[in-house]
Amino acid sequence: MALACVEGLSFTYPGGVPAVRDLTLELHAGEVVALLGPSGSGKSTLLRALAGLVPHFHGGRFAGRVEIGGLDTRSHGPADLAGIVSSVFQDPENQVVMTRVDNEVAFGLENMAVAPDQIWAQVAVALGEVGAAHLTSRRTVELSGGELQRVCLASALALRPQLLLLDEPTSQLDADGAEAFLAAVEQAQCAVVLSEQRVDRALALADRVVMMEEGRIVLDAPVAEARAWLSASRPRYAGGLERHDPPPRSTSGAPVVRLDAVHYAYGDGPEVLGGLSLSVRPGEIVALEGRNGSGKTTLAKIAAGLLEPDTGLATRIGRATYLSQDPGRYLVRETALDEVALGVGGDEVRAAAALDRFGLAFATRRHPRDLSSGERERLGVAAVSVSEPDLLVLDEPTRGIDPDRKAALAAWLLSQAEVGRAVLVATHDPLLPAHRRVRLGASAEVPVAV
Amino acid sequence: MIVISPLTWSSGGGTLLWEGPTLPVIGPLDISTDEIQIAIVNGLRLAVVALAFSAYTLLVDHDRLVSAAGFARRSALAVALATRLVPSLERDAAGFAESVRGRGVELHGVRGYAMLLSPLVAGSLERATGLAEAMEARGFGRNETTRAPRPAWTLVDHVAIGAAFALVAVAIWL
Repeated sequence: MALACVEGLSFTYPGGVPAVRDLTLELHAGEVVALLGPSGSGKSTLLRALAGLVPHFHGGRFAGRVEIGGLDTRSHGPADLAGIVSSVFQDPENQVVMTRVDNEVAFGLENMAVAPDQIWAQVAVALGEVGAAHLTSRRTVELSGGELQRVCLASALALRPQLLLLDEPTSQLDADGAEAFLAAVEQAQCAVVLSEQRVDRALALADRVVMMEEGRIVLDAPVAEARAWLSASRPRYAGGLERHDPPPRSTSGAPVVRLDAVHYAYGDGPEVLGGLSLSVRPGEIVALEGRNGSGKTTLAKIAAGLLEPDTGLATRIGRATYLSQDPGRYLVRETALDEVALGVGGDEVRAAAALDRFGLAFATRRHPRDLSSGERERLGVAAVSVSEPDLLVLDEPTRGIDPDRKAALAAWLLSQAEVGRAVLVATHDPLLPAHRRVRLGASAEVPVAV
Repeated sequence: MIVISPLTWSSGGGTLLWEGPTLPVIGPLDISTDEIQIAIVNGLRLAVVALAFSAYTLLVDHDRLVSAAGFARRSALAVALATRLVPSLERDAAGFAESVRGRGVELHGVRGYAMLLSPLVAGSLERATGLAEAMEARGFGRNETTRAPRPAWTLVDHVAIGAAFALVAVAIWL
């Protein structure tokens, strides 16, 4: 008997278009399913339906049937299903209830009426399974995003679910945090549905692949068969994204930004940057690489003029703009048009052209919060590039985006360089094109691509 | 409050120290000793509320408060989650301001920062909805629950509680 059974599921959020249409699939005990698909393809809605959150938490039009462990989700809500299904969502900060790690993991066990004398033992086991035993007595606000998401995973596993649902759980994490999280998922002793944009990693974990596009399932196959289908039909999802670095630029021309022996520390904390020098010339893409905490974001902010170095010189010619790693920061105006126009003194003509350039013409009068995560990410890029700055500084622009969008972003970066714009990209992603790659944490600039 | 209140509100008592023009809507501008005294008391009340809130945020273990709440656990949890909103709002405000500055737009004065109020409120609502969804998925709201055993109160805890009640009693008496 199947653990989960979805028959003819269609769902439309209030005031929206159908998010999923006529989905039918079965999930079996112990299998790991990679759920792939572009942003907005209905993956999250399917996961919410499997957790009973659709239709109980998100009102809307629901058709079809979803049964989990023999319970029909139309008559059993998320709290009823909690003993069978556990979920981990995208943003760890939006899931944490308690202030201490052990209490956070215990929260679900208390809700499930686990015997009090067993709760702390189960908390310890769950934290150990995700490699977070050392965090037991830490405060949740002190943890990194990666650590916090592993605590969320421990909270989910502590309930001993039969089905674990992971909705792009690494999209808000840096590369190190994401790798540690996915390694912890490998230890799960239950069926797993993993929605993930790090396709290679997801395929390595999976027994089976389900791919969605425009609310429908376009592929449901064992992983080997799925790899062949992806290679033929969706090569970017089959590792078909390759880096195409442009040839090195001529070194003539004054740098748009030049950093000389820059030092920086946050308050009384340890020094983040210790005497770093870097320059970016017109038409050049420079990738800043390095482990989490190596100072990429700090250096990017200094280059953009958002931070001043403690000592050393930062010199810029012309205007710089900076794209934050969080697309949720580009939500300060009431419409997408106003959001983009903010960077050009309210010029709606230029803003509309920028929205069109990034495929967001349909969203002109929509509130930015009504956009999907992928659309918000494009809105952020439109907002910082609309003013055609001399220097574009982008901080982790590929975090959590699907392979198609990543390819489009790579092509756009090259087009920016071709028109003479200097581009500085802080990234963990080895696939973004660059004329030069600078690895922070090393003793000097390491020009990999030249 | 101490500066504005004496100007815009008239007690009708005390010694008149200064009399200014009469403004539309606000009325006559004047300062008297009574008004200054009342303004100081009200200002101190506001400061006490702010200090109490700060002390609660910094010193109280929210988890223990929730676990000690007994039958009112949901209310205690709501209070604990609401107080966590303040640092989240600070982080969001800094992030929004940075995103605006990153586009080459400087935020000037109260009007500049006022544009961040609406997205801050909307962001809080979005975060609250996400948290509610996650809590429901973890079984929050089921009828039968249990409590993980916590360390029993020590003598120091009882003495601290007694001292706190004594302080409150003295404050009320004064």
